[in-house]
Amino acid sequence: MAESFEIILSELGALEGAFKSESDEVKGPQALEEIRIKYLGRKGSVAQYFKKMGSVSTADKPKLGNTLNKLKDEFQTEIDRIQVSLQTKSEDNGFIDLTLPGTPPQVGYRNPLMLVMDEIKEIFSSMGFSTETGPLVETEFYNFEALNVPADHPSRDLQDTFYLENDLLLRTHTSPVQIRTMQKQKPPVRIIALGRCFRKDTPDASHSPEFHQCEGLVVDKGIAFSHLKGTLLAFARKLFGPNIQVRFRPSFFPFTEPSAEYDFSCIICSGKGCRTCKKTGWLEISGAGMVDPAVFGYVDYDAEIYTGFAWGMGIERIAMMKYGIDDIRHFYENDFRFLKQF
Amino acid sequence: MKVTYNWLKSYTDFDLTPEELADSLTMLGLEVESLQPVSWDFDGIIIGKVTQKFVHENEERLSVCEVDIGSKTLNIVCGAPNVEVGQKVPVAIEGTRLPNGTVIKHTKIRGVDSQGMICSEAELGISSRSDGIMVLDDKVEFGQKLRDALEDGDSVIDIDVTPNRPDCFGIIGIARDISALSRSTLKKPALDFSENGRSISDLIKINILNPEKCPRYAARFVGDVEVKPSPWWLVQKLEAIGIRSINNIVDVTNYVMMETGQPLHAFDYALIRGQEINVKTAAKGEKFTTLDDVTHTLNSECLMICDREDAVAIGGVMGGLNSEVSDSTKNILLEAAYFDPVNIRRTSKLIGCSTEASRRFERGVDPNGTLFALDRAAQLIAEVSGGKIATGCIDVYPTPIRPKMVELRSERVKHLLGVAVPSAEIKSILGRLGFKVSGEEIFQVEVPTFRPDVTREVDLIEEVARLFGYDNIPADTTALIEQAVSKSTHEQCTTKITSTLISFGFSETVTYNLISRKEAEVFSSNRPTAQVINPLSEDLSNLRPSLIPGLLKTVQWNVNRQNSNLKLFEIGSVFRKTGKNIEERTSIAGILTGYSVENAWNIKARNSDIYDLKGYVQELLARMGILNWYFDTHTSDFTNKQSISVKKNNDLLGFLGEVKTVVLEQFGIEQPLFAFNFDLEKLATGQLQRAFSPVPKFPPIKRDVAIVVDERMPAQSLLDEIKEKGGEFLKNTKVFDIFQGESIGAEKKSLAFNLTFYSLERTLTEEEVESQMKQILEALEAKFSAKLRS
Ligand SMILES: [Zn+2]
Repeated sequence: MAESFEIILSELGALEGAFKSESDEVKGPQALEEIRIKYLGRKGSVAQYFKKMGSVSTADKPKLGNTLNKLKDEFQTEIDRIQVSLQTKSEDNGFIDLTLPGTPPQVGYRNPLMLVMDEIKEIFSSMGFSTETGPLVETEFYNFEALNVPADHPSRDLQDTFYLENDLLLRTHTSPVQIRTMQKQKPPVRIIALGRCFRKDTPDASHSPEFHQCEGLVVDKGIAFSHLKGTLLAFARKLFGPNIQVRFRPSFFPFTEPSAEYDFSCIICSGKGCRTCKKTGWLEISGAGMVDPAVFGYVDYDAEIYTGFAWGMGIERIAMMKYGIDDIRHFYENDFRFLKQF
Repeated sequence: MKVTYNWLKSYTDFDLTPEELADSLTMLGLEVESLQPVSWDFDGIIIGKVTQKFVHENEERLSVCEVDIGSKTLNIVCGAPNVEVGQKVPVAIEGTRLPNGTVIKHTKIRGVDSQGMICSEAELGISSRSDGIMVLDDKVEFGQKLRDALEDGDSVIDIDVTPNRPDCFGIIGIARDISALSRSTLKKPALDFSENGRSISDLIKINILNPEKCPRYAARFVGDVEVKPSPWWLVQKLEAIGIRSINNIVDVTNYVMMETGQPLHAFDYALIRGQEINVKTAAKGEKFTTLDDVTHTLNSECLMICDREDAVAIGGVMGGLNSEVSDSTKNILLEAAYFDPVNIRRTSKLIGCSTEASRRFERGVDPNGTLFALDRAAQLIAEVSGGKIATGCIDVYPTPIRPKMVELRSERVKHLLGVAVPSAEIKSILGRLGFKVSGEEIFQVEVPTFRPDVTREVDLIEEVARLFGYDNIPADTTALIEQAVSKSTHEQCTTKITSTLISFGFSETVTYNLISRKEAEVFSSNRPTAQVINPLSEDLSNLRPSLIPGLLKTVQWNVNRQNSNLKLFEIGSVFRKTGKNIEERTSIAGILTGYSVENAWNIKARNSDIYDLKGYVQELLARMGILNWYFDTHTSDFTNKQSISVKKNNDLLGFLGEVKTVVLEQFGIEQPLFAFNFDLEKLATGQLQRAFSPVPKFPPIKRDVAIVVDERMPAQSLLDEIKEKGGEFLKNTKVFDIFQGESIGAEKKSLAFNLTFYSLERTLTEEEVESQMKQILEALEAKFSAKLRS
């Protein structure tokens, strides 16, 4: 008499459950072998059911065969898995293939721009600078006027600006933070400000309409240009090592006087001259200078008593130097293959 | 601003190689962008000597020449009237491509063989001169390449002149800085010309109606000029610095502008109606066509140069088409003026036209250099055009601009630079730069009018520092404090979130604040978004209302590059319009998509889901020290109905949910994606520094229990009840299994909980736990009709 296929199926369900609970409890290779014999051995449970093939209807035969084969594979896979895990537990238990790859931990990666920002913050923090922040949406006053960049002056052309409605704009540099800080605090001032800035530059390998700057400001009695040189030299050496040189060249910025551009000696060729530094031995970093007395005028500091210096620094530029990255767009694409390296 | 080494050297005799000169300029603040040999691109042009000349047998206007090019003698048919035996001429040999595109072939011209071409300046692309072949100096050797003969070892130096140095928009200004550095004498070109009988005052009247916009206007008259191509020396000098030769008159005005920094303009005198010039502002909406054939609309601020009838130039910007010098011009009216810098800049911006002249005027030319430039240009025009200079010049300068006096304290130099520059050195430096200095220790300094940037003591100190050398100022680290400062809450919070999410396997992204309007609108909750008035492109036209669109774009980028299992986050600014203002807040957002666990030989892959995200969020909140927060329902335009908000005291801290398929499609993403978003400030309210809670010394007792409830019963309700009834020793409850099936009945589910009890003071007894379990189960049954699963 043909046995009911449905009954066999429900029995197989139970068998599966029993196998799972037993295999979960396995503590050693001996027990595992017993389970293997019990379920998959020549006289094991699965084999017994194969024998019942003859007693089901012709139509159900292939279905049963399928189910049994699946079950057999499933049991075998599980036994193999347990075997591997048991092997890794006991060193003296036969062959362990240690050439199999390790299981990768689930970790995230940092964007190198942020890594460099953190490093810069850390260095300046160790030199007594606190970090200030300011809004990205700024006014003409903070972004230009109070920095001695009057309207209708050619120095406005130095920075191509994105404008918003109601005379607002996207800050073109982190310098507005200088003004905001000096407005709320009397000297001494010793701050850095890091963050996003905007200029209307078409993106290419070395330009990005959004970029990051680090601004520094020191105001006190008796602060001189020599202190500016000392500060940036100390910073450069903490960031790139003790052999870095810093060069200052006269330049022009409306908010500093005297103004300077500063360069670091090329970290690729140590200043001997290579392709990266265009054979000059120097890599241009950014601008710096003594705070212009006109700027002090806007924040009510007495320029006769207090002097100060300020500098800017492009984070992308530093990050590109540090990691040898050749295209600024990498930072903003966030390609996982790129991020994974940091 | 380009200059050549030799041109510069003609004004001051420094002893520097081109490379040394470039370095010196850079260290003076005149940053050299490039230094290149002057090179002429005369490929395939060889200098030949005309040895024979015959009349063409079939065409008497043509000559047949034998030209020796060193390696051989070529037979060339030439149509130029000025070809003569003995001349050294540029020859384009077979195969040469001329700048106009013509390729020279061996050909027959009216039956006579021609093996090349003798070129005019126009054919070589040097000037517009096409009335005859170019005849070279007799001293050049024939047989060599034209390029080699013209190359005199000169170099072009491209200098990035900063906006504060209008004087260096003239080569003499640059030479002055070099002479100050190298202590060589500055030699301005000598004026040497004669004036003929006619008096200029009989030829032209000049009135300035707006002297505040035009403090000075001067003019000279040069008559009987022959407008023609410039001589080679002039062409060569201008071409070397990138200025195209036009004709001898225009070339001289350009040459003198490059030399002195003073823009000049030449009018065709015949086209000045009424023999008068009136300098006055335009009528509002007045239209004017400049000599580049562009018509501009002006306003009442724009200053115009007018004759009796109408405007003939936009003052300081560009001349008009109606008074332009042409080949038929006989008499020239030459203008040199000083315009108000701000007004020139406004006009130039208004009409969107920036010229060599306007760039100089808006930075400020020397108001007292006007006449020198005017005389110099008149002299050169007379020289190159055969013209005669009328007697005298007109100089309308009602209120002369006098040099400023600025006080400089020697002590202040030391105070600001941190190094003592000897007084004698200060005096010497300023003297070399053209300043007049008197006094000791406290100097009275007269600032020449070609340096409008110097108005204060600090400006003089910069001049001293420049010439003293920034390299000679020591690096002093005594202003540094070797002491770390404490971080702000905002900073600490950002650091904590970043390190937490990195440890969860999220990677940090940095995306643009600027996104497209379409992207912004999806995430703006129907509020107007903040827009850029002058965007670079539509893609970067709106400030992001959320970090999520940037993350979605990052997902798209990576999925397109076969990386579809992603966990990403960003901390950044988000914006929304509030009336006239734009509110800016810091957000933290993350996404989860693809496998949360990837396939490996010993691991089975699993798709990420909302519960993964919920787990991360719960742990993040715990690490941020946020207490008493709770989950609630949430709706947004871009997440599915079943989204979750995180609240505290009814205040929304953030939310999490699955992003809608329609939104994902907009970003080209075809796989499920889960996102969370928090306001950073609200996450910063937690206690980052928390007191330690003791680790239990006594063993815990664990109980597993499975109960059957209605399938729509929220797990949270059961968990809350278990916690409520669990007593002080129930420390932890986990859901470890969910089951649905026939065996427990339709529309039912079984939830299995794992409860952990312990006390910090003692070992709990089995009986205590049992009685607590009983209370829990009774409560669950009473409240939720929960049955124990048998
Ligand atoms: Zn290098």
